[in-house]
Amino acid sequence: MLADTILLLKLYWTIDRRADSGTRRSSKMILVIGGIVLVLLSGALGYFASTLTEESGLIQLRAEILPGLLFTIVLFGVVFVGFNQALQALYLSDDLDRLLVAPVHSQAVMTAKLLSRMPSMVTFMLAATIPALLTFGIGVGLNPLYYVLGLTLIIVTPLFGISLGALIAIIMVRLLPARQLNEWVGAASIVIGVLLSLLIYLPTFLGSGDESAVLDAQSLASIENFVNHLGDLPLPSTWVGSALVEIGRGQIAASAVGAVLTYLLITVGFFLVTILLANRLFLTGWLRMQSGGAATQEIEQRPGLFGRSSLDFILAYKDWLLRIRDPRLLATLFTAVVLALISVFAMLRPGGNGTSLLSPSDTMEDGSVDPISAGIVFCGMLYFLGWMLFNRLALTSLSIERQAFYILKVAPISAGQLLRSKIFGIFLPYAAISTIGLVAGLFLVNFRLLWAPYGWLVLMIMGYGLLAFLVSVGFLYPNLEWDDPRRMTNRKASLPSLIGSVVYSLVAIIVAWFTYIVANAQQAYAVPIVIAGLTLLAGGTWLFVHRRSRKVEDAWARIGTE
Amino acid sequence: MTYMVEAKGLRKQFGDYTAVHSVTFNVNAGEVVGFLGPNGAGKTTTIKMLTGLLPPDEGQTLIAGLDIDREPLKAKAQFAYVPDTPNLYGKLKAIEYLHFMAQLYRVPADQADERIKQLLDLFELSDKAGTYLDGFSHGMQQKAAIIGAMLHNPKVIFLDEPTVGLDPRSARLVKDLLVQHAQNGNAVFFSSHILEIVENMCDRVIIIDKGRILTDAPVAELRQMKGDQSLEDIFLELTGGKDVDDMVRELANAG
Repeated sequence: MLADTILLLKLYWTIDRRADSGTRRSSKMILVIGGIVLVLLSGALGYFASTLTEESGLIQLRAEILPGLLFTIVLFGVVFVGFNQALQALYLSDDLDRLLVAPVHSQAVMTAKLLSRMPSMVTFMLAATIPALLTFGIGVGLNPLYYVLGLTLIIVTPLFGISLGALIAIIMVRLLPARQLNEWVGAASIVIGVLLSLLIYLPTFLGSGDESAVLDAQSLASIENFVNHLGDLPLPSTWVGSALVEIGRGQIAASAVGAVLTYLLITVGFFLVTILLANRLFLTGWLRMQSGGAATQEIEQRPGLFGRSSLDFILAYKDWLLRIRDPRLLATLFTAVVLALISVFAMLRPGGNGTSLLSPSDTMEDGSVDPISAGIVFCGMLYFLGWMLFNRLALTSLSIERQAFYILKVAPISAGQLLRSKIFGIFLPYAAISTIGLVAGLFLVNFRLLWAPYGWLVLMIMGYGLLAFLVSVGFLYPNLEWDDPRRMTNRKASLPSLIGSVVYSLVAIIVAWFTYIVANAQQAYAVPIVIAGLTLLAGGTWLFVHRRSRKVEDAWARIGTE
Repeated sequence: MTYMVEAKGLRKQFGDYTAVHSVTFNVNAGEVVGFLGPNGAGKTTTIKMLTGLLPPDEGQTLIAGLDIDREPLKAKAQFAYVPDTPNLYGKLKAIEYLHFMAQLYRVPADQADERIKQLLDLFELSDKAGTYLDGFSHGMQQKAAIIGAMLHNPKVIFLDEPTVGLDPRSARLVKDLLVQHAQNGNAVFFSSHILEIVENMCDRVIIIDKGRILTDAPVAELRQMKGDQSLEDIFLELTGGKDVDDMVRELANAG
């Protein structure tokens, strides 16, 4: 069995190595530098934590808790990876049926499958925790036994996480089809990623900038309580952490040695039990996947709006159905909404002196028009909100076709019509949200009603120009083979989409703003000035979009030919 | 006379490798043409050039007299294409996908309703019409792709390995439908490795190997020319597969 396992592991690792060999040298360099930074940061944090065990520290932590916390981080960090790995390797890989009929031990297949993609993630987890474990030991002054046992324990810890994740996956696949589960896992990882970033950045982003808001003694005490409490959680990982520190201090009591041995036994034993159980349990889920799990779908025979509207509308409607029904795409939509709402909240919230971006009125004290009026700022904010909400949707509006792109390519529709329908599909909700926002703004913000139609037209023209540009970039750099929605566009799309969006927006804002100021200064000619400004803006936007559509036609002809 | 499909000197090169060398043939109305060749012979590349998915480096394709390069929309309205792997929109229900296809090819709504119902019944998919396509098996997806291709009653249907993944009943149904479609004055052009199907269905076969057409003749004529051999023997003889017999014999002796 061991020989089979090693043979299969070698095979998977060779495949992974060859896949990685295509990675650019610059990417590899970034990875190496990132790894070094991670190790240094981890080491520094471990040493810093050791200083907190002294009485003179900002807060006082018990020395026993840090190793336990590190084991717990590795353990739970690997559960999600183990879950995903089991799902991919046991249910969504295309070689399992071949392996199961081959004369190799099925336990060997399970072991190799579960461990095959582990090295990268486990290396990352260990690189983030081992230096901290070591520098903490140095800081506290523990004996060599701490390092030997600590390294052994932290290296075997991922086995527990992998096993737990795999068991959860095996059980869940019995309830939900694997492909559907995989989509939900993708969605969950996106949402978790966003929530984690928010946890880290939100306090700074929304911070009042008040320098006096330093941590007071009460806050420090609650942090101290919280961390010490974490260390007391009834988990094998926290118990073994305490035992390790005791041993490191030379207090080799039977209870400490017992805790270490029990932990090793539980970790390795649980992995072995999982391998044995997985072999028996996974088949049900696998067989369920072969039938596609179709029985769980609601049988609704009506075609919805298909066949009942214009082709442009139907193409856009189809895209929105795909976005809403795929949990991974829904999660990216959710992310955009959350980020947009936070940005708007941050802009609307009063600053340190009690004023907000929307505070100014349209007119200044001397009666002249304020160039930074509330109306202008509000329109700018709605434009920015639209950008935040629809940027990614516009960029990925072709990639959403995935491998079904050929259906459109052999169909009697032109690249121009396809582009138009894609823009329409993104612009329509933008227009609706901007219009509702502007109407709401009339009640909330102090700006003149007379200027609302101008603001609305500017918003529509600029929104159309921006979204059309972003959709066109998506045509130039699509990724039609994505599985992770975060990789729906080619990496090359990021820079041109950002530069183009900023340049277009700046030029358009200058035209719109200049028109507003001149029309207010020359009120007798306000109407012709506004018409001229809007014509210039619309004409420029049309030219900009028209030039892009030529490029889109060429790009569409090339898609699928390389 | 207007051919349903005219391939004129199609050539495709990928880097240094020429996948298809100046391929020329015609398909008449009422014909079912089988396109045969070993793996990597250039079948899929040729079909992709015929359907406009892949631009040829040289040559021209006419569909019902319309140049697919010069009048792409008019030409594309005349045909349907079913690839070997039916990559459909997994998050659309079968019924939605079929109505989407009907609209893409401008089939009037009432006509589409009727035709979709007929074809779903015929392929025994009516009770699955409300199911998402990603819940379909490969065979069921293939059936949905074939139904989608037939909705607008195209003048030409291109199919790449159409019966792979289909159960015997559905495979037979596809064969009958395609023959019927051709008999109604249209044309069917398909690639397959199942020579028995080709022999039963096709009026004519085109055999391609290493990007070059080896033969283009009616099945009966071909068999007559080759001393009444089976299509399988003719195919193996033309593509060098006859060596297989010797190799198997050698292997058996070695064993």
